[in-house]
Amino acid sequence: MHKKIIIIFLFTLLFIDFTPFCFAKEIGIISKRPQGDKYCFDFTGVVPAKIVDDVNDEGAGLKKALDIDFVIAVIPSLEGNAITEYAADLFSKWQIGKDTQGKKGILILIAMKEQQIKIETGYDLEKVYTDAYIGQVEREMLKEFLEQADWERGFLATIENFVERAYRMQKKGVDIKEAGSMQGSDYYSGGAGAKTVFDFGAALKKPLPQTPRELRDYFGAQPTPALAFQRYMEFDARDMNDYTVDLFSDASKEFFSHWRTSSGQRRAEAEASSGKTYIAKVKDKFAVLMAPANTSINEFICQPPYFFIRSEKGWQIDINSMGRSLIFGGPSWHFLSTAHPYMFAFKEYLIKMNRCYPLNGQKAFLGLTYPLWDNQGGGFKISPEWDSPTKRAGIEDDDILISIDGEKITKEYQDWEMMKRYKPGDVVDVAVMRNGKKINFKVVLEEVKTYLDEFPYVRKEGDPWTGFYFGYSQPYERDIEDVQLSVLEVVENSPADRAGFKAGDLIYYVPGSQDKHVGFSDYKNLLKRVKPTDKVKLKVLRNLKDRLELILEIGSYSQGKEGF
Amino acid sequence: MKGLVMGSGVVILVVICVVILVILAIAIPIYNTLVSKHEAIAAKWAQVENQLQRRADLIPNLVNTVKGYAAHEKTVLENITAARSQWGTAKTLDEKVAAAGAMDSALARLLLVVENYPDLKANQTFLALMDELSGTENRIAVERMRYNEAVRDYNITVRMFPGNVIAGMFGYKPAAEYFKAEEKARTVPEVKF
Repeated sequence: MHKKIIIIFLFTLLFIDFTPFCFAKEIGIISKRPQGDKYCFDFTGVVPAKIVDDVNDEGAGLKKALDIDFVIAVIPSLEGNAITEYAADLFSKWQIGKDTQGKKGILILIAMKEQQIKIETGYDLEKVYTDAYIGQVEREMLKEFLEQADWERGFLATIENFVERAYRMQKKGVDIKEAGSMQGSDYYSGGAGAKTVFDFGAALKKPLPQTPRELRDYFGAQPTPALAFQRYMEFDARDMNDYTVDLFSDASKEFFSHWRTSSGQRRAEAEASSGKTYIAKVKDKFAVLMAPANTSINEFICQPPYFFIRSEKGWQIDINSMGRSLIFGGPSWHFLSTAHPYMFAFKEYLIKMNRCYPLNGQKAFLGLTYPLWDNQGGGFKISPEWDSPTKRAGIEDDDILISIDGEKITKEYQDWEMMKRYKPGDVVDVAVMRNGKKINFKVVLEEVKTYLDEFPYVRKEGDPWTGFYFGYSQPYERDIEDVQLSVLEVVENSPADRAGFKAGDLIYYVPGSQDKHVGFSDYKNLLKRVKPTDKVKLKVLRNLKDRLELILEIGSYSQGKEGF
Repeated sequence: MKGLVMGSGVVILVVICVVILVILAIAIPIYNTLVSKHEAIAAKWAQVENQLQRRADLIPNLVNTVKGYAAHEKTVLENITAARSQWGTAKTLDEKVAAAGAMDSALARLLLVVENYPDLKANQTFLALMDELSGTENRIAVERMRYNEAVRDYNITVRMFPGNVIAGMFGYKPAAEYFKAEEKARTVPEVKF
């Protein structure tokens, strides 16, 4: 009897796969990638949970938009292994890039004990992300931010840079979505990439750099906005980061006292502006410098408009207001708000989520956007603007636009030019390709109207809905330090309206936000957590003096409703 | 009696057939494994060669960049150029392994020399080249390791029963593990900044 059991036991042993155990012993980490649509794995507990969530979101976005499997792993120790070996091993054990068309994975491995970074590139991304590129990103972005103990910017700015690079390469003719040549290989990566060392938090202990006395005037306030812009770009190109010089407005100096940048970002900004023509628009003490016909996505490099303010000293750059009213970085910029004194410069544009539409006689609005002007032969890949006629007609992300009212669309802004011939209420026939099939949509045109709808958190029937339109505030001039949730408009009969919110309210607390720092991301995260009929308490500053606490009962979105 | 003899003849025939079938059933998969493992070695060696070629391709740029800052380090620069042409003319596996080794040590010496030129080390082109070079060194290490693994895997099949019988019949010999000695006394440059 005992013999039999032993035999059965020995026999069973034959079928057990020992490899995961061996591996775990070898490098002390889970041998299989944890399940789920996850991209950020922190085995140390040092990365704040919110940032892990954000990276997971970014990772899912990258997978969808670029077919890249982007993984970040933070481990306590390499346990005696070289980081290059560890990274290559983890890459193949986790099969990073398995669900892509080829071997398109990226692994950012950070070992805390050894203070080392290795970014490993999947076989089929080696052409897009060369070793030289990876080395530069590691040194100028990731390392610098980790030395500032800034996980958030370290990860998010790095990801942003990868995305920007992908779009730039795509513009140069490298098709990232094309199936890779290494599809048949057993391995996912072959040691490509670069490694570097860092000293976590070290930069925080060092004194801030100072501009030499003879340069303080040179980088002071300037007689014209154009000169201020030029000096600012020179400041970036020289990789300076002393933001106490008078080139920066007082509010911008304050802004930079808690907002750090990396040399990689400064270089990218200087490079993006070089060789481009900017025009200046000035009104009173405000000036905007922008590339002509500066739409949010007319170049695959971040090329935002720059704001300047005139003080007694002269023209200074108003980074603070830019930071409050624009989102910029990556391949595009767009408005966070249109309620700021620099808006005069954009009067000739219709401001929408993904595009600034130059206004020159358009009477009707269709609401098509072209994420990245991605035209792969057959036509542009399109998305509907949120809360737009095309959205209501049923057009979806990634549809391929063929024609509008029989007119084949081959040029940028062609549809927008056509809108001069139509008026609100007209019905146009929009033909698209979806999954290889041609579909025709009847779209009822609407009037041309600017919306602050950059944050389409509410997407589908039944999503949590409140009915706010948010705008801009000038936080540093007030006793509330950093508030982005300034209520611009409250949709009539919406949950926000019923709760008693009024236009002009400043929301300075939402559940989960940090004291004195309320951003759109807090609001977005709140919407992710709640469901219709939930009640949340928001703190509000009204007329800049009354502090109120209002209870908002979350509503449920249905098509046609406005607001967030 | 006769029937019985015939009967036992049939039994023997059947037994022989069964034995042959059993032998074939064992031998064919082993033979197939041998063939595919042998091919895997060739495929992995091709990967190693690709990476070695990639490194050789970086050398002219590297030499030119270094020249701009350290022109009088003539011997070092000449050595590295010589190692590259040795690689270019290498035909057999042994020659290629030898040329790769020569390139390893020539590069190591170059990187030692570079330490004396801070301006060069801060040069953006040089930094980019160093990233490419250390990335390539790492790729070579990875592909070498995988090549050696494939050789080891194949050799186990060739040397052990019953693989050794089949291998003997079809003339499959154990393959040599290149790079083994080298891996121990590696002179591959460690690129530092």
